Amino acid sequence: MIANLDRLLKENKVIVCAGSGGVGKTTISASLGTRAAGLGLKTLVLTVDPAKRLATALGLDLSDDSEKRVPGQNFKGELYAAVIDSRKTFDQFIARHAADKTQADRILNNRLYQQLSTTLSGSQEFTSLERLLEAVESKRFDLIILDTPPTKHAMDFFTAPQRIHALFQDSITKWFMDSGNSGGFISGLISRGTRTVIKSLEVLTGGQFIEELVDFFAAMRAVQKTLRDRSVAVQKLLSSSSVKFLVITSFDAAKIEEAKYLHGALKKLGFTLEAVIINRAFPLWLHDESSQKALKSNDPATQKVLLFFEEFRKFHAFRYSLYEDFAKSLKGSANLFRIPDFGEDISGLADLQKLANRLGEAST
Amino acid sequence: MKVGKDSVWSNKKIVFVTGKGGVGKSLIAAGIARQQALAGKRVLLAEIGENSYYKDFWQLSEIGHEPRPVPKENFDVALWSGESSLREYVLFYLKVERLYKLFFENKVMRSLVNVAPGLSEIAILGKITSGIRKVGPPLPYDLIVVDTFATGHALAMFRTPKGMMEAIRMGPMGHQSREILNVLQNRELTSYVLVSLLEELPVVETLEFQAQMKADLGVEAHIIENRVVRIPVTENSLEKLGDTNEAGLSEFARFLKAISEKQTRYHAQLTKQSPPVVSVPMIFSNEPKELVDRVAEVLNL
Repeated sequence: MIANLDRLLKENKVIVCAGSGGVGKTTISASLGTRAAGLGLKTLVLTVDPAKRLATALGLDLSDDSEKRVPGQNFKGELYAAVIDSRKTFDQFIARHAADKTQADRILNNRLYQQLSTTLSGSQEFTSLERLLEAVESKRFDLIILDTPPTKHAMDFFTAPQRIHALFQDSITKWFMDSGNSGGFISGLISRGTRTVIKSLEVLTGGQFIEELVDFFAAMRAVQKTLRDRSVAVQKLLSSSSVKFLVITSFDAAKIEEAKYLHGALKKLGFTLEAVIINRAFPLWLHDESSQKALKSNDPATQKVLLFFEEFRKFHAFRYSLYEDFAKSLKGSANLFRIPDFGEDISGLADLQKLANRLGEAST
Repeated sequence: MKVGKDSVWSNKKIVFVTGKGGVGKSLIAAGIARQQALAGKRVLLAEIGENSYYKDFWQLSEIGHEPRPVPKENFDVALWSGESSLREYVLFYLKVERLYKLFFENKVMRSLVNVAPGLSEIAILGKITSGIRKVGPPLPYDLIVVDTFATGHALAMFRTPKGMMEAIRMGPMGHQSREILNVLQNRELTSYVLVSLLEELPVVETLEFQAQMKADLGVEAHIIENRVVRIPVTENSLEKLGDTNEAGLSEFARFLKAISEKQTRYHAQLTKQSPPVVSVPMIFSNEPKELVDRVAEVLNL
């Protein structure tokens, strides 16, 4: 019953594909995009770091983060795709939301920011969500599919807006406020303990480092309110009923554990988890009886392949038990789809559509 | 020509293991730790960041900043975060009891490490290289195997000392960044292992990472191809079996043939520039001890 998947695509504004690295999120996001466009929707796939072949299939140029109409398409609707350039989005965010050019330049020209903004905790996640929010606000698309950036722990993604907001909230930036005062950079408002900690840090890292930090924090104050407003807006968007989450996972004990955890955590955050997709599951083609029977074959190659299959099967049987426990624990609160591993690469729109069909079949 | 494994992790002080998410870096890192420990070295397997992978893997109650032995293994494991590394560093140099308490109880430390660009990365690299640079508390190990972040984040971390030096030229931060960079670039002391699978995305990321490391730090990362499926029959046989009417068998044969072709293709792509050090087979086990032992065996060959 493909209607299940199709209804998901038709009845929502945003689909977020979550999961940790290496599970095929980007490919699944893109294939859902082809399906949605096939249903007549004007669809945007927002992706982070797509593989070259997938980028080519989607007509993306990795150095340009604008929304592009995917070439060679023949859908009832339309398919667009864009790569999220984290640095650029963050720079633009600052340029747009700082009170004036002087303030924006103060951040953009800060040496620590210039050299190390990619290490800014949560910034990649923040920019993905900022980009999603912009796309939703533009009202140009019927459906937006967001492929989330790889995080070691998938939950990091959803807490990023709060995190980045918390980083620059008043109490922290206050430490560094009075940098112009003769008493140094440390505000008189902060506790003596904190002051001692920072002073000690200055001894160990040097005055220049602390100076740059002070400058960075002082400059970030200019966009602090917007940061807060945007993270509230993102939170509101993600918990609205027209936004659905899919957790993509692979057929692996640790990854299934993570999916379990995500399932609970998303619920707690008030987000709607629609389905867990187990990608590249090992297909159980052979039953015990058939392999037993065939083992009596006289052909040595047949025997070797069957023995090899037995190894595969035993190895995966354990994982299957985890998968079945997980399916039971969901108790209908979310669907569990399984896409078998076909050992093939995805290299064009046609392959993406084929994958979407399999996903549709799995969603019965 | 195969690169000698010896030149990759024997006689080194630090081995960084990285790769795309999901390629099995942590297992390979544990395998290197075991193999080197068996060779008589005092080895520390260091995880970095906030969360421990090995805690669940070995079902340990806790892995923290202080190294602890791994049960049934002859090496230690530790988890070094930016916060714990920076705290240790500060305490070591300030040596004031009052400050000790302050740093443990003050929320500023955590926030500061999270907020200040690059500080967490420089603190972690500082800790890893502290033995060689002879700063901070002594680390009684011959070798530290670092289970590093996935490629994207790892690259950002390896670039941090250089970035920090560009931003901060003076004072202890500039000086330490330069020293850390020297260790990272020293081929006698440090090596980099890149774990890949014979699949498109991992191969592309591996090659990009290798090129970036060469460009940014002037170092060569060595490739390990992981989870290589060793198929017991020829592609010809698989083709024949794929054509039979035996429903499950023919499908499995076609599946294996697709894997075989894919592996050949990506092996060629992966090894065009430089040969892989080792090819680790797919290990059909879910037991941690068996997995680590088998990887160590393969690395020893």
